[in-house]
Amino acid sequence: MASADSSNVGSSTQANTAPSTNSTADAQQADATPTAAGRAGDAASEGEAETKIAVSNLNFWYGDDTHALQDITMDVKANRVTALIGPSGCGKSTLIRCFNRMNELIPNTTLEGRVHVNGQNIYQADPVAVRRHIGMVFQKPNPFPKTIYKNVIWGARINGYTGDEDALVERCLRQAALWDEVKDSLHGSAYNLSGGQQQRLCIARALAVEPDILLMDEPTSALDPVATGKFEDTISELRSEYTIVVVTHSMQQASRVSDETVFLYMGRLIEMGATEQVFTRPQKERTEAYVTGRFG
Amino acid sequence: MSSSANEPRSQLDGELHTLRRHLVSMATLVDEQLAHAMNALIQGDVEAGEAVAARDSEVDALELTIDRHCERILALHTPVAADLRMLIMAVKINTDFERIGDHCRNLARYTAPLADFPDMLAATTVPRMADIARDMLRGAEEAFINRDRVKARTVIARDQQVNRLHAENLSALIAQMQQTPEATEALSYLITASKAIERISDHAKNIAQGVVFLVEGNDIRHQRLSDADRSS
Repeated sequence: MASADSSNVGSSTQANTAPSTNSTADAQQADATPTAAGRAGDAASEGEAETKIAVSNLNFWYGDDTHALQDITMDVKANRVTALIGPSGCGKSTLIRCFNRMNELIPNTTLEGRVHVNGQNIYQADPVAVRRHIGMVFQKPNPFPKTIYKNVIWGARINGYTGDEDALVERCLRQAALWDEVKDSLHGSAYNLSGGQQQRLCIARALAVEPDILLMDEPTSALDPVATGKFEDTISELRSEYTIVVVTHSMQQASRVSDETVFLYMGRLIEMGATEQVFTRPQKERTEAYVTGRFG
Repeated sequence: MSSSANEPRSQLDGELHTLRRHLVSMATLVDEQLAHAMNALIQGDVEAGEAVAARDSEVDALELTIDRHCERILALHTPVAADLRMLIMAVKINTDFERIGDHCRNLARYTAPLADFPDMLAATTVPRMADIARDMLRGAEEAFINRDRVKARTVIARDQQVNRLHAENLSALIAQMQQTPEATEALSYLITASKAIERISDHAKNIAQGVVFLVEGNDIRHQRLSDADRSS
């Protein structure tokens, strides 16, 4: 799992707190040596899933003191659901937001290390282009105050989509398992939908810009059990076409929907493995204590 | 971890504690049943045999209590990792205990037909087999209480000794049947008794294997003990 990248540790800062590493040189090296892609190729030749997101020696600070992520190195496999679990404040939301540079919107933060998506260091790329390939669903559903139809098509239009809009809206709503429930009210307000439906609408909206990765930060924490069940079914349906990373506080949700589970504690990656293994025979005592509810 | 950090699962810990207590009660009850059944058989004490048979309903009732308790924990606490192994093991060994109880009841029922042939029983290795099986049962219980995987493996190893003795009994009793056809009925009961004890030892072995699974996370069923040792 450790990075084989020979280039210097990359750095990207958001608030004039750049470490001394030369980020331009790093960018050139990163472009010249697409190591994550190479690693993906190696993995594929071994019959394993391709690496979609390769995280190497990732460190993240809020201000000068809070070292929120400490030396995280991990691979997210393509077309798998990866769950990030851990107690509050362990860094799981910070980590998922590093995958689409969302943390840059927070002032006075510092990031060191590398995040490669499809073999490219995303911190050496255009953040808008990065986010176009990576959809995100948040804790609370946040539809636009517009119709269901416009919610879905909005991002695609901004990205210059010129195809058949009706077909795109239907496809995305079907993929999000919402079509049957809203096909007769596409031009009604998205606010008329239930919380669970709104969350699936947010998935449909994210899918419309054709990302290949979906990040979900506690997507069902505001939903009731029935809506949660439907949402989890949707995740299972999407797995074959998208790489999904989901932050969850619910251990049962992690065990139900994910293929891989990553356990974080106090900013460190304690254990990563197949979900079945993590929930039946965890390798680390701290993981066992957490998944069995002995702390957290 | 501070003690306050343990609070979130105090309910589950309480439920698991109760489950362990039930299982130990079951082990003790079944152990008593085996001892009383064998005593009744050896002494030809028909009344004592009937008492053992009557007490089997207690074993059955405790089996249902344990199963219901496991169902409750699974439904309400959705245990994982070591807790889940405890539940899986509890359900399985509960069945083993209940089956041992049934074999004890059957042994006790053979007291009446064998009461008139005390020498015949003494000539077999059935009492010796029963001693070993009871030792195994107690060893499995001790391994469970102390989470002692080494002790559990010792229990597993002894099953072969019981199997060997049963095979010897079988050959001897069949030969005797051919020589004394008039004693066929009593000899048939002795063969069945020998088989019952052989099965009790199998169940004790299963319980010990459950303890290994609980402690190590390794499922060593259907393996030779030497292979199972390598996997630990």
